[in-house]
Amino acid sequence: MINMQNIQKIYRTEHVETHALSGFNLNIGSGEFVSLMGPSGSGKTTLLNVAGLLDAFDGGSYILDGEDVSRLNDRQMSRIRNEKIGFIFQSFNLIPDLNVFDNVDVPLRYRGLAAGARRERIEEALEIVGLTSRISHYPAQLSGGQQQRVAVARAVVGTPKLILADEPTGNLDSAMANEIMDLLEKINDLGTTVVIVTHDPELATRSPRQIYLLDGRLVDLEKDERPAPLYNPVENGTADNGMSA
Amino acid sequence: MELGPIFRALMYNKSRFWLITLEVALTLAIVANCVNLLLDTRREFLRDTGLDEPNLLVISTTPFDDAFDEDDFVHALEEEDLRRLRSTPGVVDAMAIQQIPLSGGGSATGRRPIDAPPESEGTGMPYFRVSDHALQTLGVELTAGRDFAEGDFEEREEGSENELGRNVILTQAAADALFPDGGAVGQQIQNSGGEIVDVVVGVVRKMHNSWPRSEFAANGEVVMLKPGSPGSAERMRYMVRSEPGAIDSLYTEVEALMLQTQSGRVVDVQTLTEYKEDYYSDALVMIKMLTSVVVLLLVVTALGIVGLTSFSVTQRTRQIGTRRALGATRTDIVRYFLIENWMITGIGIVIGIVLTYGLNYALVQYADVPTIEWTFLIGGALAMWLTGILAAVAPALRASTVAPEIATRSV
Ligand SMILES: Nc1ncnc2c1ncn2[C@@H]1O[C@H](COP(=O)(O)OP(=O)(O)OP(=O)(O)O)[C@@H](O)[C@H]1O
Ligand SMILES: [Mg+2]
Repeated sequence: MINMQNIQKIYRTEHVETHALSGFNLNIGSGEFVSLMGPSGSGKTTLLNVAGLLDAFDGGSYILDGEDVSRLNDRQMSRIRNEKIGFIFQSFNLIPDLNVFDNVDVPLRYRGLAAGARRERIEEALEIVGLTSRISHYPAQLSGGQQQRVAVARAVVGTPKLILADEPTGNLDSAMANEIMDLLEKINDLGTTVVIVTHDPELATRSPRQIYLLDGRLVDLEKDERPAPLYNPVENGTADNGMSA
Repeated sequence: MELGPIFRALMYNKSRFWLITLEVALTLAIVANCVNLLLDTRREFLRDTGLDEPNLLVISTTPFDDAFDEDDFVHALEEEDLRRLRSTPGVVDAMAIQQIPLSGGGSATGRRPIDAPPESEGTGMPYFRVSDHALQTLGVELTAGRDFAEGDFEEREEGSENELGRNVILTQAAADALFPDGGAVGQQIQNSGGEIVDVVVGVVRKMHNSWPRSEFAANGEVVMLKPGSPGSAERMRYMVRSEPGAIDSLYTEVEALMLQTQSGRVVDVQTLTEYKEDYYSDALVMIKMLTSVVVLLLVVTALGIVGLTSFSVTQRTRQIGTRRALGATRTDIVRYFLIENWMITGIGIVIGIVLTYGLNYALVQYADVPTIEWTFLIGGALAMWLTGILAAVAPALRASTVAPEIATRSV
């Protein structure tokens, strides 16, 4: 599903160059459930941005679902994001002025589906996350957990092949976090590839594969092989930990 | 198209649009009423005077020589002036006249049919004392009866009965006022005292008197032309009709020509249009001021829309990033904000139309303003709508540059 080779991502500001990803290689197969961990500033979000075509990268090659996406224009990238990828964000990113139905509808609108087909899909997606009864509620009228479940519905409504989630449980208590993980597992069971960034080792253990990022490099370990120190992001990662030009 | 969600989002968060909506509504109401007033004044200024206005020159001479105290001298000079003016190249015809049409200054008397009951109200009758060639010089069109003939200009013997009565020509409006059933030609009309009796010998289609801005005398269209030598020791005035295009050179030539014929007088030359502009000067100043107000208001409104739209774009940076992440292209984002603006402006225009009519209604009641025509309102609404769209283009373009990666930035 994701095939990255020698990916470079450099953030340039006036005075500093940050090598957020350097010579990065990553392979994630179709149908995998992968947790991405690592200290703050290690490049997790950057990786997700590159993987989700939210941000350009500076070198290397990236094959997504068998398609070379290294050199695409804005319209092509938008189409791939819309059709192949579902995003879940730490702060939910629901549109506050739209109700649940219209929020879940957003990606479908950009696909230009007919109204009937959209309604069917939206109801189905809300069914999966168990929020059918909140269809006319606005985000402000929902709890954090419910908002994130709407966001999950929005991510899956277009039946993408890949779900990218950046700390989807970061703003939730552990009970709600587990609910979200349950949902993601359910979606993964249906065949969707899921990549999730988390700081919570407990949650990470629920996925069959964990990837560790350190200074923009990959430490890919199978379960039970993890060195203890990497577990604790607080000890290992402050924002400026070794990341500089 | 995503009209539904855009509209629903607007309705949910009305704070986003009511300021712009209000601004658009008020601007439309004010601009539409200003332009209505302005066009009405302009229409009034440009309305048909019945005269060959663009080709008419007015020469006003004020004598300072004692020789002018002699009536015979004045009359002889008048004939000589006219003879020389008429033989000047570029001149179609020339006449003497005692007051200037369209100038705001003139004479008026009263007339009624001779067989009207004595207690009946007469018709207010602005009149001009004119020399021969009057119709040809003014460019007015004879529609009934005849033009003045040579005998019409002869003075009657002093002390004779009806010494001041003449054969006169009326405008159609004057004929209609005196004889609503028609048949004015050949009728006798008299002043209120009954000591002056005139005979109507001709009717002209139209000619404005000295006060076309006044409602008096059928909005300036009632006129009586009375033959006779209009010159006096105080003032001698002529009107000269030039060939098309010759008025500018005549303008500069005639003063010398007049003084060459007879010195001892101050000669003032102006076009009839200059007299008219003078008479309308306050209205013309108002047109200029209102035009500036309208332009300024549109600019201020446009800037307001730019500012408010920019603000609402900035407020929604994260939302834009999220939409981009979910598959919106840059074009989709631009379209979103243009459609949104179109709706906001549209609501403003609907409210504005109601306000426009309200304001217009009030103006019609309390001031001399015509009712706004709906075609005109559509024009105003379109202009407002265009202003709104143009003002939203820059903020919408800026919105489309928000990067999709904004979506994953931590708050
Ligand atoms: N837009 C940017 N401009 C400049 N530098 C950036 C930008 N985004 C990220 N970086 C830098 O790139 C590095 C990786 O950042 P990234 O956000 O990917 O870390 P992260 O692993 O997601 O951290 P966290 O766990 O705190 O979310 C950091 O050093 C960060 O400062
Ligand atoms: Mg991050």
